[in-house]
Parts: sequence; C-alpha cells; structure tokens
Amino acid sequence: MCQTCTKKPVIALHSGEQLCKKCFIAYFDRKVRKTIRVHDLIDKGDTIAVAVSGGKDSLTLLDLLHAIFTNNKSVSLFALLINEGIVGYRDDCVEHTKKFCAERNIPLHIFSYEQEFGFALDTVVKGRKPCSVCGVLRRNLLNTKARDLGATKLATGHNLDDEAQSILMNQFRSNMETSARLGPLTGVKDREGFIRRIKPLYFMTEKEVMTYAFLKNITDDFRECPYNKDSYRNQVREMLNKFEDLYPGTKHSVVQSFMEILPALKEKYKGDVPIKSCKKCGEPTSRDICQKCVVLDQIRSS
Amino acid sequence: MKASYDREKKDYEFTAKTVIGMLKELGLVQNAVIVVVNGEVVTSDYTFKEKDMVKILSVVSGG
Repeated sequence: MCQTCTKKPVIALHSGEQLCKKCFIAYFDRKVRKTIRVHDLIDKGDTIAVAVSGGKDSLTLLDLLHAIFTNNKSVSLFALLINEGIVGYRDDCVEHTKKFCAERNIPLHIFSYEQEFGFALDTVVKGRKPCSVCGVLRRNLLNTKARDLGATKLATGHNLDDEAQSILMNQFRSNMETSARLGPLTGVKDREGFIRRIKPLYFMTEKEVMTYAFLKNITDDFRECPYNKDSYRNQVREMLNKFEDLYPGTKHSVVQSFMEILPALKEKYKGDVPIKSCKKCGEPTSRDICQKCVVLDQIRSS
Repeated sequence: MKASYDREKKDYEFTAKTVIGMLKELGLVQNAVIVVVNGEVVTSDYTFKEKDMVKILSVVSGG
C-alpha cells in the first residue's frame, strides 16, 4: 500500500517506497521543482524554449513547466519541435504535439530538416550511422532556432536514465571532455551564440516519467524512432536496465557519483578554447567549420 | 492469461500469478516497462485475477 496514505500503490521507487497515484504525482512535481530550484535552472526574466518531440519525456516536461509558470509573468515559455523527416514516426508525433500545445495555449514552433537543409533524414541515412547525423543536425537547429526566437534557456526532457547512459557511454569511449558538458545545466560555461540547456527531469527515472505521463493522460500510442534499436545507446540502456533490476538504485548511484566529480570536470575542461564563427555558415563553433557544416558537406558530396 | 505489449505490437500468453512473475516469464525487465491492469497502473507485486485485461507499456520511447 502507499507509504504516505495507505491507498493502492501505482509505483515502487528505487528505495522500495510505494506510492499511490495522488502521492506519486505530488512527489514527481515536488522533485522537479526542487531540481529547478537547487540547480538554479530558471531565473526571473527567462524565456524558455522547451524542445519537444511528441514523446512522453518532452511533453511531461512541457506540461509541468506550463503548470509551474503559467501564472508567473517573469518567465515565459514556448515549444520548439524539429521534424527530422522520419516517415511513420515523426509525422504522428507532430500531430500529437500540435494538439497538446493547442489544448494548453502554448506557442509551438516547428522546423524541419527538409525546410532547413533540403532533405529528410530517411533519404540520407543509408551507409551512415543515423544517430550521428541526426544528433548533430537536431542540436544545431534547436540552438539556432531557440536563439533566433529569443530564448534564454533551452529545456530538454532528458531524464535520469538518459544521463546515466551518457555517463557510461562517455566512460566506455574515454570521452571525459564530453561528460564535462553534462549535468542538469549543460555546458562548461556561457558561450556567445550558444543557449544554455537545462534538464528539469534530470533526477526522474524513465519509468517514473512514463508512469507520470500515463497517469496524467499525456502519453499517446507507443512510438519509437526506427533507428533506435541498433544504436550504441540502446545497447547501454538494455545493459543498465538489467543491472538496475538486479541491483535497484544503480542508475541513481551512477548519476549521484558523477555529480560529485562534475565540478572538477567542468573546471578542468573550461579551457581557453576560443569560439569562432564557422567559415561556412557563421554559427559559433570551436573549429574552423562547424560540425553541422561538416555533416552537410559529407551528405551533399555523396 | 494474455498480455498485450505495445513495443512489439502483439499479445503474449503467460501463466505467472503476479506481475513480477509475468515479466520474468516473458523475459522483460521491470525497469523498462509499466504494467496496466484494467486501465490502472499496478506495482510488480500485484496478483492477477481472472478476466484481468493486462497491458505492458514500454517506458522506452522516442529516440
């Protein structure tokens, strides 16, 4: 039974504590607000671009931020969706997101690879790692569009599972500099042209987010990116989930222990790498040609 | 009993009496799913009753 009010439980937390629907929703809401507060994710005067995909994480995030800030005139928010052009997946997500935002009167801005780069992702992934192409292009568009629309922060629906996976992936590939950019507030320091990213769902497990989304009727039909199953991240996810089943609390431990060393990593990698303008597109980058332009050149030359 | 699993878009037969038993029988990981019985989310110690409508929903979505 629920450990707070003795009603029928809907979830057991990693600590073993069982909560009913009402107590779990209150717990979830409280924990996300605490993450925002303790890690100074949102300041007065912020305009938050919420990156949405139509999935449970981003819509849960949007729903919560909307509830928290709807009567707070000092913070405004809008939704930002990037349509990569994945047939049978993204198009359904777009329709669900439009309906979701309309119901809550949240402004929604949609941009597509087709519009911005001249191609849909499906048409260029043959012979390539889809996530490597998509990740670079989507991150670029999210940053430039959020910035152009006047956002001061970009909120993403990344959860504890995502972060634990990223931490391990970076360890496995000896990529600590990339890990220095992780955390509830991403990036090593403020950089001109780059919008700081915040992850209010940082300490919520994927199962907690799904449970919350189901209880609040935020979820729609199951959808999974067709390129997900073969990805490196998916291998790490499956391994971590099996380990969590055997040893509950593993994911929390991975993230909590990482949070202890994160300040040292950020200090080590804050460096003096100057930010330049990409020689091709003018966007900020630490290289001569930004990653997006490198990827686009590879695609267009093949 | 039968359970529908959204990620695989099919139904599975199982004989286990509890949710945790069912997940083990079907080779599914607790952390990767939520189980809905008769429209309500249940915990892994839930014991099935005759005529329960069971749905297994993957928590992994998106990309």
